[in-house]
Amino acid sequence: MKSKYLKSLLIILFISFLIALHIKEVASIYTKRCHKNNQIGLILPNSFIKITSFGFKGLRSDILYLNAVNFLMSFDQISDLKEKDWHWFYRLIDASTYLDPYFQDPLFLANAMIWPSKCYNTTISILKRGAKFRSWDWRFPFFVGFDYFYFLKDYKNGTKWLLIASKKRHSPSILLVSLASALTTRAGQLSMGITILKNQIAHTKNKKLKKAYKKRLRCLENLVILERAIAKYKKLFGHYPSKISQLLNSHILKKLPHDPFGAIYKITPKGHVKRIILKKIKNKT
Amino acid sequence: MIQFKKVSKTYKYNFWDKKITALKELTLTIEKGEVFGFLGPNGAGKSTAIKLLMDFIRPSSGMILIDGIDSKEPQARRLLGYLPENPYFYDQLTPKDLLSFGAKASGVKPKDAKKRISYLLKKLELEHVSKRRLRQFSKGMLQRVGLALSLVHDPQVVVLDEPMSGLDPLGRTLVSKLILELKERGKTVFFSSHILSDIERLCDRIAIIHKGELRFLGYIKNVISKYNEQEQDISLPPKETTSYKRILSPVEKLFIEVINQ
Amino acid sequence: MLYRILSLQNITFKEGIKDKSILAIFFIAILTFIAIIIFPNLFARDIGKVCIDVALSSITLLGLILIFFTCSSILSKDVDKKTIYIVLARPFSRAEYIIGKYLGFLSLEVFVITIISVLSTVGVFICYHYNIHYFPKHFSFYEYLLAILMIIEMLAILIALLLFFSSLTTQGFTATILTLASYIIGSSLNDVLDTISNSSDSIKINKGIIYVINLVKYIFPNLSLFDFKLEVAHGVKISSQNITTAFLYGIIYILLLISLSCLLYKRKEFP
Repeated sequence: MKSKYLKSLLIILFISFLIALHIKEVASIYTKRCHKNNQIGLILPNSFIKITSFGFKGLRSDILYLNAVNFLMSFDQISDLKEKDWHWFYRLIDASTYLDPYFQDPLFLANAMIWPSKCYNTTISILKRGAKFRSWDWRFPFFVGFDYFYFLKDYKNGTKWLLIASKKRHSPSILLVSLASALTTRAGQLSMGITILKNQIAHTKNKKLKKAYKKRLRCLENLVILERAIAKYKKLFGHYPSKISQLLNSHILKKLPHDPFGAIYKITPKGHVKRIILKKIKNKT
Repeated sequence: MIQFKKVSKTYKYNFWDKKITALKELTLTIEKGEVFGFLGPNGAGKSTAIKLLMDFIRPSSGMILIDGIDSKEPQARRLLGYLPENPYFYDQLTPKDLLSFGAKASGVKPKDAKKRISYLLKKLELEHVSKRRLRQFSKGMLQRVGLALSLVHDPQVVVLDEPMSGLDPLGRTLVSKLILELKERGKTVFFSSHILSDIERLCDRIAIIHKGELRFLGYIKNVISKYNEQEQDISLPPKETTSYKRILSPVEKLFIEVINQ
Repeated sequence: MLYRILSLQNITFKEGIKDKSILAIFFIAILTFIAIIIFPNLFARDIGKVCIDVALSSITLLGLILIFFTCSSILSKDVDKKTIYIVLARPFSRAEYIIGKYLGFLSLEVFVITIISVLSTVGVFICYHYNIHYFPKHFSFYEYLLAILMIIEMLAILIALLLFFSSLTTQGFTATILTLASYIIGSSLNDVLDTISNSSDSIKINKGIIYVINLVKYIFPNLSLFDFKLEVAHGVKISSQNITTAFLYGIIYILLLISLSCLLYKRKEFP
C-alpha cells in the first residue's frame, strides 16, 4: 500500500514538473489567443452569455474583465488601438458588467478609457448600469454626469446625474454640487444652478455644509447680477462690454459684486461672464 | 413455509416488444425445515421465481405467501435470508460494514450482531480479510461474503440463488456443510442450482422447471431408488454410448428425461 | 423503521466517503484554496468580490461534481449492478429505501461541503486580512455562511431530482443525464425569463416558445433562487424575504420529489 502512494506521489511530481516546464509556453498560447491581431470570432450577445453561465455569473464576469485587461495589455501603447479594437474592448467590458453589474473594476476601466477611446455613449451606458445597481455608490452617477458635461456638452443630463450623485451617502456633496453649479455656469444655465443649490441648502442639516453651499450660491447669484447687467448694457449700447469696469462706468451697476472664492470676472465675446479661478476643481478620475 | 399460488410472470423489455412469459402458473409449497432444490436449465425461470419471492419483481397474477404473509409486505422478508446469483456489493465497504448493515437492517440487537458477525466470519473463513474493501475480492470470496450476509440475522428461511457458482471445491464443501447445518437446526433452505450432484447430496425434495413451467416435483429418495432400478430406460440419442450413460447420476437422468419430454 | 433508514443512510455515506472521487474533490478543494488567495490579486479594486466569487463558485462546483460523479455512480450501481438487492432483501419498504438513500447522499453532501467550506472560508479570511480595504464595506461572514447553506439546499434539490429520475428510468446513466439537464435548465431558467420579458420589439420571440418556457417554469426547479453569490460578494444586504422564500420553495420541492419517487419506486421492478 505504501509503495502505491509513493508511486502516485512520484507521478504527480513528474507531471507538475512537466507543467512547470511548459507553463511559459502555455501562457504564451493564451496571450496569443487574446492578442490584438486575434479577435477570434465574436463575443456573444450579453443575454446569451448570462444564460449559459449557469449560476457562475460572477466568475464569468471576472474572467471577461481579465480578458479585456489582457487585450489592452497586448498593445504597446493605448494610442495604438483602432476603432474596431475599442469596439472589441467595450464589448468585453459590457458583457462583464452585464453579468455582474455591481463589479467595480470594469466600470473604472471603462471610465478611464473614455479619453483615448472616444466611445462616449457606450461608456456612459455602461456606467449608468453600474450607477443603477450600486445604488449606494456616488462615484458612478458622478462619472456619468461628468462625462455628459465634459465630453458630450449635455448640460441638462450632466446636472441631473451630478445631482443624483450628490444625494448618495458618503458622497462629497460640496464638491459635486459646486462642480454641478460650476459646470452650469459655463452653460449659462445659472438659474438652474441656483435652484439646485437652494434645494440642496434646504435639505442639508449640517451647518458647515450649509455654509459652503451658501457661499457657492452667492457666487452664482453674483453671476446672475453681472449677466443681467451685461444684457442691459447691450440694450443701451448695442454691443457687449469688453471689460467689467464698463458696467460701473455706465452706471448700470452701483458696485461690483465680490466673488466669495476670490475669482476675477471676465466677459466673453458672447456676453457670458467667465470666472478666472486660481485653483481649479480637479475631477476625481 | 413458502407457498407459490398460481404465480405467473410476463415480461416486456421494451414498450414495443412482445410479451415474454417467464413463469406460467407456478404452484409450489415448501415445508418448514426442508432443503428444497430448484432445478432447471438456463433461462427456465428459476431466478424469476426467486425474485418474485423476494419482491424484487411483482407477479402478473397469483400470489406468494411466506409464513402466511404476502411477499409484498416488507415484514415477510424479516424471515428471509437471500444470496443473489452474482453477488455484487458496494465496492468500498468492508465485509464487516456490510454485515453490520445487514444485522441492523433486519433488527438484530447490536450486542447479538457483534457475536453473530464474528461467528460467521470465522465460519466462512473470512476473518483475515474482514477489514479489506470488497473491491479487491475475488468472485468466490464475494460469494462467501454474500452467504454470510444472508445468514447474519439467523433467518428462518434461506433463499440461495446458485450458491455454488464460482466456488472452488473447498468452498463448495464449505457451503454444503453450512446447508446441512442449517437443516439440522430446523431452518428451511430453498436453493437453485445447476450442479446436480450437490442437489442430490443436500436436498430433501426437488422441483424441475423448464420454460416457465413446473415439470417435476418430488422427494429425492424416490428419484434415486427409481432410477437405480431401471438403468436402461433412458432414451438418450443413439450416439451417446453406454459408458457415458453409466456415469450419469439418478438426478441427472431424471433431469434429462424431464427436459426432453 | 427509523433504525433501518439510518442503517441504509450509514452504508450509503460510508460507500461514498471511501470513494476515490472524494479524494479528487479534496485535491481540487486544496487547489481552490490556493486560488482564493492568489487569483483576486489580479484585480485592481474589487479584490474581495473576486475572492468570494471564487470561493462560493468552487463550493458549488465541487458539490456538483460530488453529485454527478459519486452519488450518481453509487445510484447507478444500485440499479445496474443490482446492489439494491442487498437492501431490498431486508425488510425495507421501497419508501424507506428512497428516504434512506436520500439521507445518505445528503449527509455525504453536507459533510463534504462542510469540509470544503471550512477550507475556503480560511482562504477568504486570509484574503480579507490582507485586503481589508478592498472588501465591500458591508461584507459579513454571516451572509457568506447563509449563501453556503443555500448552495447546500440547491444541491439537496439536485439529489432529490437524481433519485426521482432513477425511479423513472431503468438505467442509472439516463438518470444522471436527466439530472444534469435539469440543472442546466434550472440554473438558467431565471435568465431566460428575464431575457424574454426584456426582449425589445425588434426581436420578436415566437409565442409558442414563450408558452413552452412558461410551462418549463412550473416543472423544473428555479435554481437561481438559491444563488446569492453576487449579493454576498458585493456586500448587498440579502433580504430575509428572499431567503425564506427560497428556503421554503426548496423544502417543498424536495418533499414533493421524494414522495413522488416513493410512489414510483413502489411500482418499480428490479429484474
